[in-house]
Amino acid sequence: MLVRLTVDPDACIGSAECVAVDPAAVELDESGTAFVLVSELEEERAKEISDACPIGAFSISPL
Amino acid sequence: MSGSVVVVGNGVSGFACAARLADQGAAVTMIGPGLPHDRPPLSKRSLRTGRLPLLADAEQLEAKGIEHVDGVVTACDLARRRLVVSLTAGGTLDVEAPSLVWATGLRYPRPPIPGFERAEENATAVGLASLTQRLTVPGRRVVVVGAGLIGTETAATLAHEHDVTLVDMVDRPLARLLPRVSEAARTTLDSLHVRFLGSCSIDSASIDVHGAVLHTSTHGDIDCDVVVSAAGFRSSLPPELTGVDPRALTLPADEQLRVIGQDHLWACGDCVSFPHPRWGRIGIPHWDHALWSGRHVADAILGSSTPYVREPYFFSDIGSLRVQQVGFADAAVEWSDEDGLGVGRDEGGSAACVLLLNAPSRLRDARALVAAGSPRSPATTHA
Repeated sequence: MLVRLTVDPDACIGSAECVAVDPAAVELDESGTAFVLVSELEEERAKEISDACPIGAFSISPL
Repeated sequence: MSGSVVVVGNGVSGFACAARLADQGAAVTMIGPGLPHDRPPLSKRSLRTGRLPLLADAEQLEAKGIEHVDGVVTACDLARRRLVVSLTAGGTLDVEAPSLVWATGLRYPRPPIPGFERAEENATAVGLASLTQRLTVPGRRVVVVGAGLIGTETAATLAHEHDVTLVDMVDRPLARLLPRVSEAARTTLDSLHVRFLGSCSIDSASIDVHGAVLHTSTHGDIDCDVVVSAAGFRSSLPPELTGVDPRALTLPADEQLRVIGQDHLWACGDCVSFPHPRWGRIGIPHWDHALWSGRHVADAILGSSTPYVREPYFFSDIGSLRVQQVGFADAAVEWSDEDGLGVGRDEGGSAACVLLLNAPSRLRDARALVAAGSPRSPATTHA
């Protein structure tokens, strides 16, 4: 099932754990803040990215 | 006032511990000045906006069930398990602490230079508010004193809107890190037009609300509008805890992060050292360890016997330069470039530390390499 993945840039602390898990879906901008490259993706893949974030900056919502 | 667990410190580690305890249904009291917040220099946004990076507001604390005492501990009686707290609102409060977690991190005092006590700083909530107030108009001439991680990040961030000079006693920025990191940082600072003055010796400072002059014996007088102190760190531990060594930065703990010799006292974050199975007793003064050690202490208090094992990891953004380091650099005796990773190997040839420059997607590879302690690959290029 496809879901929408979003990240709260104010919450992101730039640990890069999400990028390490799925560099094709998430990247860091020049200030070290995560942003989502692929916002609609499989739920399992979104969950893996979200779970990797140490401070829970990602949200997953239905399309 | 009594509670089953008292957490002293409201930074990343203290809050992570308190939140984990509360999530598991434990009664928890967290003591610290103001609302829990991340350390200001770790957030570039904070420096740009002046907003403190809060970890939770009062409503969220209440919803979690964390009792917050707004103040600082001024006396600690470990034998009687009691604390005295000087409250921000005035007065004092006695707190019973049958189980106690110490998570006060490090202090970042201004260096003892005559006149330097009026320099700005951004290591505290109060300092951040004062500094950003001084920098509301672009184009200010700012001198950042101290080219460690905090000072270098601060200089790079401020350079977007201000005329920044970074000074240090040593001859290169980030001198405590690997030479290749220093070189990359220096290149980035140059691209941001940050002047770096190395081997600089400041004799005294004249600072008031109108401007400042740093009197140096190496570079003459340095005129500027704002001086930011980012030099050095000290222990935050009270004498009741440090015992014979008042300058101790960390409390020695066992593998559950329980302070040795104190059955009801735990420590986490910057102010704990623990026995790492590969590196021996180490402390890790970085964000990642602050978070995970805080959570680990909560689990230990709730009955977990799992040992704390976390490879040292830090990350830093200096302008567009992203630095990440996994492992224990002190154990590396030889460095080489291997498949885009800077790998430091120990005397046995195993990966002890991996450095990533602008390669955040390789973090997993770096962790795997250090975890495996993999043998030296046959073809390596000496760095």
